[in-house]
Amino acid sequence: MGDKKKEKLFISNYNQYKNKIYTYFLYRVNFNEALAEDLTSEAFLKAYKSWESFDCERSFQSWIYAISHNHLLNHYRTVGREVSTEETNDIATEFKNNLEASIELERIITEIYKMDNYCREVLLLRFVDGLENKEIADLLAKDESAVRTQMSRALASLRDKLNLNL
Amino acid sequence: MTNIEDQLNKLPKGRLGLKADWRLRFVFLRLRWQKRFTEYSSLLVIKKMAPVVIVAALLLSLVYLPYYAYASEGVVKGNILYPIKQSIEKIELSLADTPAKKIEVYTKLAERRLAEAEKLSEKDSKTANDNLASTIDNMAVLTVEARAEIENELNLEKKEWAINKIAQIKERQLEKMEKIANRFGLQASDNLLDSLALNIDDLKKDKQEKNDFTRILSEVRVSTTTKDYRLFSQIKTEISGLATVSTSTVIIAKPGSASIKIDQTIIAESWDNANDQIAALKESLLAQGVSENEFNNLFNKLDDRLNKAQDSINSGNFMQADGLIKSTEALSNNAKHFLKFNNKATGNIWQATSSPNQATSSINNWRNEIEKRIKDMRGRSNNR
Repeated sequence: MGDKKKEKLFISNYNQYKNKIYTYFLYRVNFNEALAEDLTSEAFLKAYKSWESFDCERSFQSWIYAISHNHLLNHYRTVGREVSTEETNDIATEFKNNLEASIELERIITEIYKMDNYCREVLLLRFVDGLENKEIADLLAKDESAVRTQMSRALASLRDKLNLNL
Repeated sequence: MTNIEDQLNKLPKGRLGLKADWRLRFVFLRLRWQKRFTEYSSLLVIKKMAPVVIVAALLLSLVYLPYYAYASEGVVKGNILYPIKQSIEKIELSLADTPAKKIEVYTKLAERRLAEAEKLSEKDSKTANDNLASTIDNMAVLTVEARAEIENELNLEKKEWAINKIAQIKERQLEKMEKIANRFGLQASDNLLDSLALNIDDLKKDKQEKNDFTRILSEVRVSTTTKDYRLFSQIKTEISGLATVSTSTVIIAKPGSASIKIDQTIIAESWDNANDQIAALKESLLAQGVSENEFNNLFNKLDDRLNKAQDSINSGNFMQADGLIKSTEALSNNAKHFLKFNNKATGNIWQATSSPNQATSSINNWRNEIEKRIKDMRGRSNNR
């Protein structure tokens, strides 16, 4: 593929995934919009610099999510990441302020953030980011069956906590 | 899908702000242009460096090429670098300011020509033959020049050293020339044949002079079966009663031995007699191990030169005639180096079967007449 064509392909992919990646970061940085924007820019910049060596046969989605995930981990390492239960109230407020959400969704997000990291990630990647079980398994370096199991447990737990009907 | 899943699917998605979006797009553009600029700059660097590289390559070739041309044994006449070699040799010669130094340079260059001749003798083409002939001639000229410088050297010790050195070089030259002559045989081009024969002749004469060699190598005049008068047509008319005259004096040499002269003067009353005599001679050479092909080749070459000499005299070009006669003599004198002997004949040398009862005195007179005519021809060509 020629340079110009490949360049155009990147821009096309950027247009398709920019909001998804932004959402990915937004849900993981306490809905801090400015920080989410910065992280999104940094993730896509990393992708652009490695674009020449990218094999176009691969899935761009998997690739950009992998870059974003690793970038987020690096960010956590530098700034520290611990969300206490007290903070979850603030998160809910931020969620409500920054995203148009109903009270019900506000409750859901509060409960999600009370879960452990693994459960939370599985749920967010599946229902917010729209990834399939296999893609989640690849991203988190887990077995697909393990992800499926975890997903069921997380949903059951959430259901119980929210006392929602099946 | 369950209720909880429906709810989860409704979780809102964010949108990247316009400012952040355009800021990022601008960064992509900037990076793209930076990359293109870097690529273009590298090209420019290469273009800027190109003249430097070219100049460096030229300088290197100016220094290394002449060295290689001068020092390499493989650079012989016909090689593209040979003129460079010759130019450097000329400079070397011009730097020699005393007779002793000049002798040293001349002899060194003569040795180089000899080495080049050896290299050229390994090739087998007309061009290589001509180049070889030219190299051999050049070698001879250099040796003569070295010898001439001896006269200018006043120091007796250096004179003696020079004489011995040149004598040694000539010994080596003779040995190599004979080897080359044997390698090519009569298949060599005319140019090469003449060059080899004349040089061997000169070297042998020098050897003769140095060693007080008194044996006379005779001349060869061979006429073939043509009815044309040879360049000695005047002689023919002096002998009455004969329709055709052919004369041959042939050297028949045993390989490894000194040449022994056998005079065989053939007086034939007819065309058939002359043929018979030459046939008999052929038989003898065949018995000595020379192939029929070689025999015919040798005689054809000698005859060809004589014909050309005759034509030159007829057209008044005596210098050319003189050169051709010298070539003929040289070739005939040194024919043994060019003939290929198949077997080492150790038997008796073939004796002429011509009847001793034939007019031997007139034959001897006739032979003397021929020698006088040649001297006369040479005298005429020198005066012109």
